[in-house]
Amino acid sequence: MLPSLVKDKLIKYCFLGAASTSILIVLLIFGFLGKEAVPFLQEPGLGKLLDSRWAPVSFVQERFGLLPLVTGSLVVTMLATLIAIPFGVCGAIYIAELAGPWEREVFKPFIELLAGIPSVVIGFFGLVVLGPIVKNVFGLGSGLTALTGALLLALMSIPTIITISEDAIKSVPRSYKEASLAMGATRMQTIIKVIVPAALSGIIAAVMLGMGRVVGETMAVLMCTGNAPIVTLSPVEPVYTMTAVIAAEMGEVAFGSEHYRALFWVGLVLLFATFIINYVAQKVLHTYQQR
Amino acid sequence: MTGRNTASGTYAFFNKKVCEKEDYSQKMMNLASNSAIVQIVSQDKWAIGYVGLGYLAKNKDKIKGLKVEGVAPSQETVVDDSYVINRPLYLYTVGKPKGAAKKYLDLILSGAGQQVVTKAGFVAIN
Repeated sequence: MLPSLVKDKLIKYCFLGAASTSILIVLLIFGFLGKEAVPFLQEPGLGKLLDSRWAPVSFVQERFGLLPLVTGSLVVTMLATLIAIPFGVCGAIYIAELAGPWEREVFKPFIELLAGIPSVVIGFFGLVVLGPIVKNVFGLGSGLTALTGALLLALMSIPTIITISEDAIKSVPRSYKEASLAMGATRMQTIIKVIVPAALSGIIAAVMLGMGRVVGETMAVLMCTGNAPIVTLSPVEPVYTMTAVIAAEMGEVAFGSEHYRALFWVGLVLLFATFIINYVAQKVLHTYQQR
Repeated sequence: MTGRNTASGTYAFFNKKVCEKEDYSQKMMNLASNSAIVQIVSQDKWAIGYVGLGYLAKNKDKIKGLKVEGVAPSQETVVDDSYVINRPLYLYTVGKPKGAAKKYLDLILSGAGQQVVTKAGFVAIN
């Protein structure tokens, strides 16, 4: 038998190891992406990424402009967030403040179920069901547009937004609510004027974390946004997102080619974007938890 | 306008042979599979795209093969080279094939293997 002090230490280090694994892996991923992306700086140079066209396989001239991919991701993300906010926030308010215990018992498992649906299944649903609907409603040639992808992504981010907003709303001190009601405000007035403003930073953080999920989502957008690398901010055009480009093109790209390196740059930009979003969300969340 | 993504051999072939090495339009949808192209083209009156001959045979009721230089695509017109947009497919191995790889290649080259190719709507070797 080991002396208990040594055993204690040993166990502590095991736990420390487990806890630091994620840090280590994030660093390794950063390092790996960087290593594969850096040679692009010398040949053909960073300026190539600022081009306005993405045409990585071409007999004329290979072009690696990230602009269409960045705008593609931007349109889909913004649209998805705009669609998800009313559903997510109103849903959270209802569940936290208005729903009876019985209703809560029904809603919660379904929201968790929605969060657990594999994205490829959602993508399939989008391709076969939602795509044709979007096509008919807007009278388009094809239903594979930024909007189709955004609707699916909104669906996927709503559970995140609801769960975190609900926590934020619930942690508003009871005394605020009671004071408001005692002053003669109605239930709705209390919710809109007192509870929501008090929980606002938590709600914003929830929306941003939902956004983080949306930016990085791949399968559903690959299947449903049409993948045309045009620079547009229109919701009813097909767009090619950063995630979809990597998923579609990494499989057959010549190892070590400029195209390969450019895809790693796409990955870096994507990682950076999600990093910023998550960082800001955590900051906002932190400020509200401190109060 | 639909096409395949850069992971596809058809993407490069069509680019070279039909577009004569000019770039594809940026508005072309880079779809991940032949069946995705069939899906989109079948839903839209104005859509156009390219798929392998086998996918045309399987989806005759959904999509229509276009005539090129007055010739409709079919197994016969590809064999006699009158349908000009055709290409061979190669199988590669490192060194001389042996073991399972050799068995696999033998099967493909056998009469039975080539019958499978024809049945799938593609064109047999001879």
